[in-house]
Amino acid sequence: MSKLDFTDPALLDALAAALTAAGVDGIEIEQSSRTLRLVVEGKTPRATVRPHAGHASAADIITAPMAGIFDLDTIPSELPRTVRAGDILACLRIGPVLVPVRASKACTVTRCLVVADTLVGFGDPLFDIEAHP
Amino acid sequence: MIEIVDTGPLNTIQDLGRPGYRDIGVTVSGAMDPLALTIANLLVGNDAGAAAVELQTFPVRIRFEQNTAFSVTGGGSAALDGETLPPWWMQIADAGQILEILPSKTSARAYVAFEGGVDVAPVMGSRSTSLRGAFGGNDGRALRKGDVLRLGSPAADVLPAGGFGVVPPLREMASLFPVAENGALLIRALPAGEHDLFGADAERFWTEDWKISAQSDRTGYRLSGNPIRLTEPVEMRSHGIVAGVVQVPPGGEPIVQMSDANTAGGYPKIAGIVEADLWRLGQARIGTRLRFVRATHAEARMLDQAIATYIGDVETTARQVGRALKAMAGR
Repeated sequence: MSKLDFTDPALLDALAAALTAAGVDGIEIEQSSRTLRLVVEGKTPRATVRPHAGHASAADIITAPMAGIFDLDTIPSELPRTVRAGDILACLRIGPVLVPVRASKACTVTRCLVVADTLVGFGDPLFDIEAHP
Repeated sequence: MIEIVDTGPLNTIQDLGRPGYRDIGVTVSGAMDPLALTIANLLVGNDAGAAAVELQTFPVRIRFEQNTAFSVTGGGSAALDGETLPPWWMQIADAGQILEILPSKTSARAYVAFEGGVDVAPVMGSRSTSLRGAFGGNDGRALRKGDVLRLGSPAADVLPAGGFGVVPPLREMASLFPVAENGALLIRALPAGEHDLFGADAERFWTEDWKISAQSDRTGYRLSGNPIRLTEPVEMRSHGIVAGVVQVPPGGEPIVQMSDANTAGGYPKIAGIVEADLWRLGQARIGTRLRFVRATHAEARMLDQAIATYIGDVETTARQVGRALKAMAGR
């Protein structure tokens, strides 16, 4: 099962919309490495993500933007690699289509967390990164 | 609109050509690699046969006058404002950005498609440039530095801002397009009308390597190698010919008719290349070694179907993925 990226505003919006539609005031989702608490009050939902002790925060990983086969053939992938925000780190293969996995910020990509050509789900961690200040 | 900031000679606007007029001497023209042109168009939401730019000399620089989705397929190494793009890729350029395309080490031609297609007037149902006839495309001529090309209206608004690409056909269908152990391109063909008139030399046509000579262009490739000759001279009337026909002139070195093929000719025909392999020949550079492989009609149909399946998969999946990415970005 895929791990959701709780730092993704699109995901939080979707969850908030679902809660509002269901008439639920809030939800807490716990994963092995972090807990999301989302409260829907008034117009602006509030979300807090709390990493568990000993785990990297979501800010230190690059996650899959959608489900697909992890493809390292299209982009050179020697690590560690210093990249700028928006640089393509790898691709996800959906049939013959390749969707880019881009760096969300300037960082050094230190470790690839997934074996090439395996299926990953939306939000799965793909790379460990060290963000640049 | 786009502006051609820099270009080599002989780069032209092409689509899938203008079939149906050979009887009045009008060559079909169209992309030398129609598969790359088709995929380039599908990546930007165009119909498969929209007009795009075929590049065969480099470097080429194109400036975007407004935000524009574009794609680059086939050969060529592309960079947008200095940022290298993966091969067979679609991206959205901002107004003022410059796309630079440099030659590829392995493939001869690159195709650049733009959302909406290149909007030049169609001539006999096609926007392809016929350089020999000096019509079609951009005033019937090759692109020049300073040309400004108008683009059509985008067909669909499902293109993701972050861009995406496709697995190139030679990777996706690698098992269907083998190369020889010595690296020669294997080109499948069927024996043609005068094949048997070459006697024992006909066998050498299939077993020996041929090299694409410098006397090759969009009209035809002249091959160099050990000449093959008719067992005895024959008088032949001119007959209709199409792209893929392999003729043998008296000198004995074959000529392969390509996209700007003559409409008629009188040299004996030894073979016809299967359509599914013509795009690979269109991407073969001068100096490439190739060997002809005798194919069957069934094999040719199977290859056609495999390519059609690949194109269909790209079309369907690109649309679905585009919608999904756009929906996620807009939430």
